[in-house]
Amino acid sequence: MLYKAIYTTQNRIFDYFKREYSEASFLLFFRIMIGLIAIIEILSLKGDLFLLFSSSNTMIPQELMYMETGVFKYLHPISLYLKENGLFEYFYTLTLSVYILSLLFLVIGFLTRFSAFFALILQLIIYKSFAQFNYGYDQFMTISLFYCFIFPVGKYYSCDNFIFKKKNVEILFNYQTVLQIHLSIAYFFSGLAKALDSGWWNGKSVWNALVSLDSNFYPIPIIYIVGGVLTVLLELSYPILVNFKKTRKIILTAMILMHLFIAVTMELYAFSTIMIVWNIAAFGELSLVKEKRLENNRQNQIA
Amino acid sequence: MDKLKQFLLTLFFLVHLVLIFFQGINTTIDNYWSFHYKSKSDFPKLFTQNENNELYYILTGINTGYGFYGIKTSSKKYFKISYYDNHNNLILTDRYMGLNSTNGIQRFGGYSSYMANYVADTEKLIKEDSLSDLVKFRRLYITKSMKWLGKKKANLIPNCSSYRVELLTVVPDYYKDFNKKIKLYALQSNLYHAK
Repeated sequence: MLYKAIYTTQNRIFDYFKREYSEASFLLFFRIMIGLIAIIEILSLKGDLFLLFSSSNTMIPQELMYMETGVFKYLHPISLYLKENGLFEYFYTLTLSVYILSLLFLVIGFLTRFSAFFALILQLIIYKSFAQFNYGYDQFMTISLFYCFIFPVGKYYSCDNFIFKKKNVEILFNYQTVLQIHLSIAYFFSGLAKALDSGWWNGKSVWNALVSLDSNFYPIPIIYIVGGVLTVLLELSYPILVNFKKTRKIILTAMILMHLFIAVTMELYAFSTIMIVWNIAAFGELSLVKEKRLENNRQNQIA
Repeated sequence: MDKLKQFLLTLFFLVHLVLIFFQGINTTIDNYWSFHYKSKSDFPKLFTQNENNELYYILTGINTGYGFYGIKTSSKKYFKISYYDNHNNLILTDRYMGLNSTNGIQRFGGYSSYMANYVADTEKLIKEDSLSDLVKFRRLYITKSMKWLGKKKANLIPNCSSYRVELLTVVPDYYKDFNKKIKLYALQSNLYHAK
């Protein structure tokens, strides 16, 4: 009896992650968008990057920036090694150049898995070097690059595909499900944390998050209350509502609007963009385009 | 071969997602407990981040909770530096430390919040034992970090003899004057010699 129950559960889990059709659109969209966002984000910092990541021009000495973070024990030996071997001066420029090159390769799908791996490692080295200046975007970019490394994102419509003439073997594993579950967990706990704070129910937390010396965004108090309550309810209900076809479009639209609002009012453009891309990649109806294209490919092959 | 690959992939991602789920639970409980009870929670924790698995958490980016702006959403924090001449006359003030891009300025806002939390945590430690090595280190860390923020610019201003670095917070009085001018309060204020 117990064996049967375990066997059934195991089969259900494996079936949940199984997919009978390919995920070309999802993988293509995720690869290109993540690569592009990472490139645009680092270029948007270009004029300021030397104040955060350089051998001697940072606003606070580089080691002081990551001394009190969990990455000190990993970055400090690298820093010492570079100094001892006289490579310190070249390291920063080289790291940035290779990072951007890896991202470009990722976008076009050239040596995709290697490019994603290099981009992931270099992203960690660069951004953790100013860990105290990090925010949600950096964490989601690390996760995204890790998924670009693990998922076969270079399998479709990539230079690898063109150069190495690899066969497009159907992928049975449902990588999109991984992103769907991850995003649902993220929103649920984000909503739960907010629900546990009275400030999100009375508008105070929204006021705290929005009001700054540099913005002129001062709506009437009811907007703060409605905004706070809506955010909590949307995030908490996301894992449920997004799984029903009838409510999926509504919740996706609401989340995208919420992130656009965050982008405009808090100027967190990169964070909002990456969250919108995750929503579309995980639950957007990209499969229509994909299935048609694959049908054409198959027909061409048969012809 | 395909079946084995399928099995291994499912197993790997299942474990990966379980770690993410428990990281979410653990960080939510920790944050709630530390804010409401000012102590660490006694709840038994499963699948926690520790020294043995830390590298995996860092490499995959799952070393995070998801309660962004969740429990205890604090008001905005700012650094302000005032540069003075020999006669203690104000030469100029600065809030951006040479940063020009929106992205850079937003990140600097994050740093201000980090330092505000660091200062607050240090204050708590001072109440417990003001002479401990940890408190001495943290005090020095705050002093040095703030000193560096204004040091380079102070050296570039010819008649600058001293500068004051202030860590400011928006006073969170939403109900009192939500539509009036924002009030600021200094959490930390240090004066440094320029040269």
